[in-house]
Amino acid sequence: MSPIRLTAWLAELRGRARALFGRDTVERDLGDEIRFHLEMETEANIHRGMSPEEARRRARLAFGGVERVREEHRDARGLRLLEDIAADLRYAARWLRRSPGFTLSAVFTLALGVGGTTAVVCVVDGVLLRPLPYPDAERLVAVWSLTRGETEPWATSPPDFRAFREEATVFEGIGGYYVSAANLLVDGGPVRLDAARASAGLFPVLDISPILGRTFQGEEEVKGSDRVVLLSHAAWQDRFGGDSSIVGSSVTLDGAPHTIIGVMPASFRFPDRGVEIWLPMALAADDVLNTRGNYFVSMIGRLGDGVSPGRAGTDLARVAARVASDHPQASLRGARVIPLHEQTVGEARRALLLLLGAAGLLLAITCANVAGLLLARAAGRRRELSLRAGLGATRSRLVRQLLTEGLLLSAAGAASGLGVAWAAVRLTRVFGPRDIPRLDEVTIDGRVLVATLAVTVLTGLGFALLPALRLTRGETHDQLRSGARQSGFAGHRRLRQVLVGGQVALALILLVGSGLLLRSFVAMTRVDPGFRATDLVTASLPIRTAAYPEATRTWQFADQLLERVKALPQVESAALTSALSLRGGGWGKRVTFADRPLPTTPDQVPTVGYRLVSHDYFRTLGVRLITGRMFGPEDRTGSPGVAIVNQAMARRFWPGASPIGRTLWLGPPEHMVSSLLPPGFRFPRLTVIGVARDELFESLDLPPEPEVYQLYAQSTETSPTLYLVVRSPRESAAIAADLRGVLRDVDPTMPLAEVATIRQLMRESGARRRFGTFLLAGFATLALTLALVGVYGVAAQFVAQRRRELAIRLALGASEGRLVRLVLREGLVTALLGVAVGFAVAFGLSGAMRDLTFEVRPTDPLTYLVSAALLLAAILLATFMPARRASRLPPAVVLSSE
Amino acid sequence: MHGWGIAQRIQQLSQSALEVGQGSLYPALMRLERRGWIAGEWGTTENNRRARYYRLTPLGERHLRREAASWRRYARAVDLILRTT
Repeated sequence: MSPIRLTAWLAELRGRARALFGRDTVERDLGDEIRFHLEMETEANIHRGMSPEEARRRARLAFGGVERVREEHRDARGLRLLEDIAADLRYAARWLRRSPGFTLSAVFTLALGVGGTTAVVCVVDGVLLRPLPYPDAERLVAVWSLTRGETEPWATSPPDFRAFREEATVFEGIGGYYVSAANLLVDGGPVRLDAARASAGLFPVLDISPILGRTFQGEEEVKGSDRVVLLSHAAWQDRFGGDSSIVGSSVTLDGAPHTIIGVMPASFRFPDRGVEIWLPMALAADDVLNTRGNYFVSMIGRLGDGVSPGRAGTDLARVAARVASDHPQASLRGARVIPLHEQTVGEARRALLLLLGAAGLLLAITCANVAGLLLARAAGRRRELSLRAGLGATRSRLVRQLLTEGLLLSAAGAASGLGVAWAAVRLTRVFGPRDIPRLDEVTIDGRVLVATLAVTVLTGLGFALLPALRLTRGETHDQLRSGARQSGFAGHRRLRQVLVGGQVALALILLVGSGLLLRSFVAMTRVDPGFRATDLVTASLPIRTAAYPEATRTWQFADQLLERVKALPQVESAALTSALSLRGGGWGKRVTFADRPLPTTPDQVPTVGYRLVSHDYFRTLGVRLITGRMFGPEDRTGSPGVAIVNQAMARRFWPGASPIGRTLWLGPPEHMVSSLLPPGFRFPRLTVIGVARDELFESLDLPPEPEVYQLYAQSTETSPTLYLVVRSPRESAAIAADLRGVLRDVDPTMPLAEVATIRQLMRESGARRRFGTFLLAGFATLALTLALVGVYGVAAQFVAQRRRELAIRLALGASEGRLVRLVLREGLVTALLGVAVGFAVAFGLSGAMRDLTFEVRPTDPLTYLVSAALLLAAILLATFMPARRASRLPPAVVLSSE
Repeated sequence: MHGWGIAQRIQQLSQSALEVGQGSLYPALMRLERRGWIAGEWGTTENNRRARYYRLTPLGERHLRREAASWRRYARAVDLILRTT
């Protein structure tokens, strides 16, 4: 800006400021100036020889209309609009204060609508839209291996991870990690911590620096040099009192001294918020895990500048091809590269978008409702507006006035709505399901405030514009004549009916949606999990390889523990398993059958779930045996290997035939993997002795997968975690105390973790569905309430406006029933039309619900009918009250009062 | 110069060719003041009356020169055209 322009601009600004803030001064000045001018002119005229009266008259004549000059002067100040808006605001505030009942109900309605929408926008923004909390997060990708025989991408084996990390060319870096656990010794007792094993490159890839100390170095990935640990901010605060000189001190983890080398910032919660410590990913060269057959390393890559995930995938496919040609029996055949954000948000997306849609519907209902309220109020304002129009207010001026009222109303609603949103977000963070990613990051911040502001302005305009245009339309002079009072109402009423019908339709959509989710939820709680869920307490035992280097040691510990636990008072039975339904653990295994043609390529070898269990597993969990026999005392270490399969396994591999007596082994045909195995190695052969009822493993709403159960006594493998299951009628806390006592005797370094009843696990498994159902049901309830208020309003207004007519009818002998029917019809016709529209729209939208329902079709007729019936019954009730009032009008009073 | 004085001067100088409602002067003065071309100040007349005096600001002077020059150019052009026809 040139200095001259700048000076001019400043001068103008000063002028305007004077005009705006010194409004009264300016007006007074102008008055003084005009008076002075007239006096001077009059005197001059007198000097010219006129009589004083003539002189004054001529002076006024020469000057022109004083009021017009004042008006022009105001316009010249360029602040006309601002002043008018200020006046409008004052006027609107006065108007709202004068009718507290209307104002309160409108503000309350808006608070719910705006608050609900804002809260959902917060969650959607925090979970879906906001970038991940890492620098340049859009360049971060999750990398998964594609292996032969698997259609889904999977974690990577340690050697494949190293190949990717060293040979990929388009990445700035690739880091690997896997979730594990560690037992920390504090005050003489062991505590189990969730931990992650991370490669040294992971932290630079995520580009997060520690607030104290350093992260891992390459040489710490070597077994033996890996006794270092990084603390999370939470662990540092809670377990070490936030001691700032903590770096360099030593702690005992899994029975070995480790040096604390750093503390990560509070915002770093990788891979999830439960992880308290990070340890280097260090595997001994001869560790069985450190082979191409074990897939458990997750990878995060940082792409080079401008590299697309697709190009990265091609780059990694080249590495995979190199690995495949050097190791023909390895099954790596490529990699899948997924942007980390997509990976993190994943499945939550659909449910959250549905909620956003529901919130939008609620907001629309809110607008329609407040517009209806305004219209009803407007009936009484027609004369006022007509008067103002008659006195020269233009239509745009009147519309602006009405819009200002709308905006003021929505601003008040939004302010209270923010309070509602704040509470809702707090509740969501506390009670929301833990498996919605990043829910703990959700806050109300500037972005959301901007969104609320936009929503507010839109709703304000939305609900005020229609009545404003409608009210100020034409025929102003007719309106002035009070006889025309009734004529304006027909149009109003139709508009209100449309608004109410729309609300009913929207409410029905929400009711149907929440009805579908509710039925799905009920269906899920009725699902037979395959085990008897009552009186079961579970706990997990992290088996540390440092303390239990061999499988036999682990199973000795398991036998001792079980023996002691079974001897506890009131324990009916107890079992140990490597994987627990609804809790996790376990792993998949390739399976080959002796009585079928051997697969010719590795791709054809199927994979099944696999669990190591103790003898009493099925009896303790109450899993019924369908055919065959359970594990018995004759099945022990050294006796012929036996296995029990579940129904899903039997159905898939022996449809229509009995699996009993068949032989299988848990691995591919030996010749396919001979180079990876010791010479002459043979997988142990297992005979199927029984078929057990399907247990729901992952979650209550996922179908069971094929599973093989084997006795741990007959296995040479160990499990990183064992789950203890105890059937007892006692309180879980009492059992846990007993179990801790037993554990202290058997292995004092072993913590007892994750104590929970199976019932709790089932509840957690349904948490996300319950959360979504609860929220949508909440929205639907609000929508129903608002729609009822709307219908009630229409009927009540109908009665109020036609008091005279109704009274005449009564006086002329119409029965009360007739009048009630007349009013009911008024409300119900609108409602029925709304229901019809709602049906059609809900049906059209049902596709969006497909993935969210469980055992209920999105077009389930029962849900639709019940929703509509509920809505209509409620509407009938809402209409009935004004109808009754109409039938009880005292005709004489009404007629004489008008 | 106060408002009435300005009105008188316009009337005299234009030999009453520009006879507009005197009142229109004040909105015009407001516009000029708002742009910072003139500044108004309360003062006292010779016979001790309170009046609002207007003066050109440096900014206004510059603007006046520019506008006047441009007007003269325009007027000369019109004049030339009229003379040649």
